[in-house]
Amino acid sequence: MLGLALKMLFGDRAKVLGLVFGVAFATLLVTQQGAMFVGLMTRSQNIIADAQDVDIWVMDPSVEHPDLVRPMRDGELFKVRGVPGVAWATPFFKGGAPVKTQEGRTKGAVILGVDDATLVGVTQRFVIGSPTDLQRPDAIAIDRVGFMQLWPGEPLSVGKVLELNERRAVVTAITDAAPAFSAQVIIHARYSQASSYLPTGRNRLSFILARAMQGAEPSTVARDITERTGLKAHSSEEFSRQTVRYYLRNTGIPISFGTTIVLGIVVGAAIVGLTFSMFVSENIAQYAMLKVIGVTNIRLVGLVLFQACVVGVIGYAIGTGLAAAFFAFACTPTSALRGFVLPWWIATAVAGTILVLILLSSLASLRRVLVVEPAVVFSG
Amino acid sequence: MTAPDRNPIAVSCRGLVKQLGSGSIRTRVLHGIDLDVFPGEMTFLLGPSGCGKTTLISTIAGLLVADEGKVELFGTNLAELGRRSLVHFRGAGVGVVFQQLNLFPALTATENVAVPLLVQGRAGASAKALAQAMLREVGLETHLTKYPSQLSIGERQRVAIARALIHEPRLIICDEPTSALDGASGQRVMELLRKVARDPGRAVLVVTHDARIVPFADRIAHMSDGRITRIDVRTEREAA
Repeated sequence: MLGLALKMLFGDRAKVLGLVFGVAFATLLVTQQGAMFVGLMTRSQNIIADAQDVDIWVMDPSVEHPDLVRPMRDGELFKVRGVPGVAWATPFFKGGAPVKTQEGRTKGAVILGVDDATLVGVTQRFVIGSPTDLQRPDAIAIDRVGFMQLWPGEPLSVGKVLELNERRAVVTAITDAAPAFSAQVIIHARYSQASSYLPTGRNRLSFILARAMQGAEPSTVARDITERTGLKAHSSEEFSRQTVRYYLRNTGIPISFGTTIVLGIVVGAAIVGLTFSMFVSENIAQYAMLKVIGVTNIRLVGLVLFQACVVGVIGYAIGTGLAAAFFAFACTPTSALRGFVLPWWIATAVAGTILVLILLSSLASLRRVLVVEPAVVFSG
Repeated sequence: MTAPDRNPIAVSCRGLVKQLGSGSIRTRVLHGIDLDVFPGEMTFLLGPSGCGKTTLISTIAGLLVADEGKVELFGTNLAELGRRSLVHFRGAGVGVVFQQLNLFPALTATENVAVPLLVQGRAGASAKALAQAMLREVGLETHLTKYPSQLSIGERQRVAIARALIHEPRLIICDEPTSALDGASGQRVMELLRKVARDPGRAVLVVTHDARIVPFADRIAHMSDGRITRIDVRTEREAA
């Protein structure tokens, strides 16, 4: 019987193409946009994730995410170090400045300054060199994609000289730092040097990176820091969550992506629903004939759902394949879309969505199959 | 062929009433039909268009439910069967040849004929083998893998008959089986049906307007305005 269902289905190639297109379209759009959205949200917290040894972030009370910095007085660092439960605390600088090569090429850069002595907060992913290379005079580490944007076509190498706000900087290491939200060039330097690249007032301390003592809960220690210093303090996990919440509430990103995703589902459902309805209408005499031959309504429901699921599986496979191809070819480690991936759980969630879409789209058609009188076969 | 049945009546309709439509356009189509169809015979149902022939055979086949009266097939009262049982009973016991044929266009002749066996749960290979044997029996041995669109109307008609016979139903109902056929093809089809009807365990009920095939009838029920007006029983010699 399943063979009969398949032959009935593929006997109408135009409808099958329409159905597969509808499902593939919805799958591609929802998967691609869903994964891009997740990628953007991940990017917004990459700075937090890259500071691997840190489990508490301390900041000015008005700061809500890593891209919005209100500098604190350097003295706040000592207050934090004095809070019970804090194992250590180091300064962290974050700012933005134009960077210019000797050839005259200019790009915007995110400058991250880490503690001169301990280098806490620097990324651990180095392509050339190591964190200790930041200890050299005028040393900076630049991310691989930034290097390729500033010196296109040249092989990765150290020793290049840059100008940062008219101050000299020498590339001593190349990193594979996780891309920032704005996808600019990412530069790591010592705190003292990074802060010297940018005109700041008395206050230059962007964040304080801290670690709770062994056995102490970071979120509890963060609460103690807030109580004792009046500064905002979060565990790394909570700061990541708050950053995502900020972008969800205060930007058009969720609405923009959400609209596209909903449109993908609605348009896909419309195409699939209408095409499947046409398919069933045009073949209603065949379903009635099956009733005459002795097929019960329950078996007919199974047959119709099987047909719907077959086009669903084919369309989903094509749509997911296209989405995967997009991420494989467009989001290479050296492209502006680096770091964007297709998470397995997005693909799984989309599969569930498509299954619901298929079932809902089949409902109207199913009703028609169930109520058709087998006697209609006499009238053709 | 099936073994001879001890039941003397294949189809028994008593006081059959059927209305179609709904609300103000609900119309009584059958007005208390009494009709018997006997095994081993070919019974013809004759009458003008709109007299209720199709409604009557739909009700006999269990495709429509009678509003009043009783239909018994080989002693089984259709009204006493549940919906699901009726579907199974119809699938196993009744074969129908439609005027429009209603072949599955995406299936080959063999696959079309095998469908009733597959519905009854027979394995694919066995169903296919039986379907091919049945197609050979109706003279289509060279068309086993052809699709309906590749067959002439007469060949399609024979595929439809093979499909109606493949599961050895005890009642075969044919709606205008020769309407689209030329004289010679119509004769071949009727000879095939008469051969089936000669089985004492089976009955054939034919609805037709085609005067050319009337000589094949053993019994002729004349219908008019939803009523059986006359039944002619033909002698064996007349029906030969």
